[in-house]
Amino acid sequence: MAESIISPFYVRVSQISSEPVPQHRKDTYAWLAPKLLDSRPGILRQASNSIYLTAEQMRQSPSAIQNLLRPPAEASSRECLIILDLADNPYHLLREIFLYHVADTVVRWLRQYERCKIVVLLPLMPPSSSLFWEIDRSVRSGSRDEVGRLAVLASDGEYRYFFLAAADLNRYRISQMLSNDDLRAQLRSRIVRKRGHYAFAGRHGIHCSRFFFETGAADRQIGDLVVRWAEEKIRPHVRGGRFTLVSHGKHAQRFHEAVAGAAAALGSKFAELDLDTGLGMDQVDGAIALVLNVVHTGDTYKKIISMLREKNFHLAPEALTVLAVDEELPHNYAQPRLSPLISDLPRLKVAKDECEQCVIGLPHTDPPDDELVSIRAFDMWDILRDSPFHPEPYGPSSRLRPRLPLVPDMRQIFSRHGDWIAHKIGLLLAKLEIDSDVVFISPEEPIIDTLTTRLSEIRQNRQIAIQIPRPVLDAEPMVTEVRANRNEEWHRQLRHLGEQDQQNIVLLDEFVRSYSTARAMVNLLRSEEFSEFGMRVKAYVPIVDFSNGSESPIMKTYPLYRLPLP
Amino acid sequence: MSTSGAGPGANSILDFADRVDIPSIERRLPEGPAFIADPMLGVVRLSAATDFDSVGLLRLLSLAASRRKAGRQVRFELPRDPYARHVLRRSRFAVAAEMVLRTPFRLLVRREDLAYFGEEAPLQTVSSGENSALGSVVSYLAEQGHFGLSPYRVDSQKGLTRMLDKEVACWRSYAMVELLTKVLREQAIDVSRVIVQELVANVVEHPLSSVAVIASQIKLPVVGAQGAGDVLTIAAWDDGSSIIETLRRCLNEVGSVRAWSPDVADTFAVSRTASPGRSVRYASDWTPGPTASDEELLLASLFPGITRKLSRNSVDSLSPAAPGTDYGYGLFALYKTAIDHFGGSVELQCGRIMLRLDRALETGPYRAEIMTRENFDLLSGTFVTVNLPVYDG
Repeated sequence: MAESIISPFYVRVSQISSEPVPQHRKDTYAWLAPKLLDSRPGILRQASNSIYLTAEQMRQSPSAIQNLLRPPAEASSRECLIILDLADNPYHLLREIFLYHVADTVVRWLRQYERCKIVVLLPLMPPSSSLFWEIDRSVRSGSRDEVGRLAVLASDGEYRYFFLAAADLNRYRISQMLSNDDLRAQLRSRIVRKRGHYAFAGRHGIHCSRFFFETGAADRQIGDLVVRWAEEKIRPHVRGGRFTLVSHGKHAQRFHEAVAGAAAALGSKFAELDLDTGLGMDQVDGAIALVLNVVHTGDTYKKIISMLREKNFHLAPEALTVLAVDEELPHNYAQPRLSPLISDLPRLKVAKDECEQCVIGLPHTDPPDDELVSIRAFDMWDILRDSPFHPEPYGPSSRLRPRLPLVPDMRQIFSRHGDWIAHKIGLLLAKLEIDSDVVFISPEEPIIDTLTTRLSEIRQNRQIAIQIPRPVLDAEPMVTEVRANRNEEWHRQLRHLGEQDQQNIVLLDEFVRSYSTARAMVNLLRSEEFSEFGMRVKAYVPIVDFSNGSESPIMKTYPLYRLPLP
Repeated sequence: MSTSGAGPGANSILDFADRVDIPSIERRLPEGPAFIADPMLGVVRLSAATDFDSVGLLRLLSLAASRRKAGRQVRFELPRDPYARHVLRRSRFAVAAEMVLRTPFRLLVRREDLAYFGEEAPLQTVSSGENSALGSVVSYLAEQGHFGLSPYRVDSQKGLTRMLDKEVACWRSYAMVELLTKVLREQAIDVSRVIVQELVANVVEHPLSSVAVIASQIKLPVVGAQGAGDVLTIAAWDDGSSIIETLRRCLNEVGSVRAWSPDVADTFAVSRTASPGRSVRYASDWTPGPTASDEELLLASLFPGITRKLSRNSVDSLSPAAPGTDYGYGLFALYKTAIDHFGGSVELQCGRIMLRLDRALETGPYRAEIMTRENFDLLSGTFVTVNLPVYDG
């Protein structure tokens, strides 16, 4: 008997282009397939790329999914297992009308291919009122045994229909769940360390710090970690299990909202503590479980504790801070103990009279108002001073311009400061009103890859990054090289993009010297020669602009820092 | 109490005391036509108002928009009570009024009310009754602007994208989902997945819309008092051609409003407020013909397969759906989720007609109650309201 064909479809919605199927999904298919086939051997045909619908298609024509899903060629002649994987999509993006069309496709295939089994993977099980369950009505009304060849499985382990043993489902659920360590790792990757010149009033007068930490992009991780902490460390240790989550933090609305959400989940009261107005007794029920955004020296923490004690509030035995950024953190401050989620991000604090920025008369940056898009000279040079310099490792061919003898190690810069640079790029895009459906296009170089990874973390995957191989950009003329690359991933992605007009194309580069790379990228995307791409570039963003002004920019260029080289 | 315009030269006044909400506005609607038609000035007197709900404010703005559409001016008299002004401010009433009436807010108020501009919020912003665990979370999120009015320009694709992105982001934020998970009977994320997305998608379908406003509010049950005010309301209004206008036009010019017929039909027991106790049954595979009443067109807009596809912003290029575009299921998905999943209700309002839809029993027919205000046309655009029951914990 011929082996079964296992054919997974990795489907993504509201995406601007196709993307490679992530390894963790491929692993899931490899794990799931034998279970679905009762350990009989099968040939797993891993798909390399996602099937996707754009946000525009999800709004206007979600039925497009019916045309994008093609059954395996052998479906009518041999046994097949089709894995329709929607589980990597945020559940809220799966519109009812889209689910209806998915259901319609599944029913059609079950009827047409009698030796075909189908499993649909979803992030969450839709409610019984959902149009997705048209599937139910259709398969049950069918004359054939279609129900027995269908399974629907959600990431939390819930399932409908056939053939999975409960123990296996449990493992599926556990494999989809995040541990505390996963959550902390996600939290860390979403914290933005903003450089600047920040003033803090402390026990010994004003001191300055280089960093201000923003945790707003991590509200979900903070909320979930607060819930886990409170269930483990607070509820069992306070009278009657009653407590109020009280949050404190400056300029941190999303942090406070995360704690408010955690309070809702825990069924406890919530209050934001303002040091000027304090807390009213009627705002608190049971013990106060304090949650702080950032603890510096611990002075404010101690002040809060004594203020609350003075008012006879009952304090829970432990308090939580998302970040502890100074070495003298009051870990051992009598009670309550202070437990940090992250404690190894230094902020480089100095006394005001020893502060280099104060010495040269730089004004303080006020956290809510420091949202300059460009990088201050002090910060840039502070970064450069720390960076090794090398001969330029990549770049346009030497035929176009000579390689620069010394350039900063941008890979190190992006790995150390990529969160903040990515945040700056996000600010720029928001300011230009091009921050939805963003496509970053850059030369294929490992350095810029470090930055696009950070961009993806900070912007929470609301983007696509496409990298064009350097030999293509350097080729003269480009046309032969481009044709030879027709089967490459970047070529396919650009063709997809060429068929749409809603996306915001942004060219990204570590630095610009002669505009030759930018010109090559624009030529590729816009020229009539490559009409299958044909897209409009909205902005060119080099991190550092080394050009000396002799080359005029060919489009709107927004460097984060300008350093003209002679 | 209310005083309508009287005597030559006097302005038409809609006068509100206490709480401004849908019932208090409904009580004043008989004065609505005079307010809209007054050639001088339409005054909305909020001086004695003490509290507002967001959906009530949106209803007021939609009335004011009808005056504006007729080229007539509106003035708001702001509340004397500082807490009431605070509620107006945190509901973003001024921003919404500016966008809907296309006039700077300072030109929409009395000269003496300008003194309130830029004032500090009162210290006591939490009203009594918000003292339960969930109440403390709701009042915090309300202070942060999570409920209230969100106005959008929707005359471009970019505007519509922005509206969808912002609304979905708000309703799926961590705090909102955790709150709704506690208070709704079913999976809270379906609020952003279905209710919010389909409300926005419905706006997209209305030709000639330039402004849309989403209003939301949540009233938690008062501990011990079962049933009073325990509802999450999300409403959307836009100033485009209404559902009835677009379907009627499609019927007249294309000859049909049905693209396909559903396999299985839902049943609707339709009654009219004017003749209580009598109901007529409709099935969702029923197709309105040229003689269908406006009420029937509004009802049919809920049925799957009933659609019109005017190309956006071009009334003249009425055409069947372009290839690749989908027929509408929007209101169908909306009522299924609001009523069958969350046990709530849906209200559609166009012009003089209001349709309220719910279901008494899980398996029985849907109940549609239609109220028609004869002789006047109060609302420009389409007003869709979804009410979902909430429970404390």
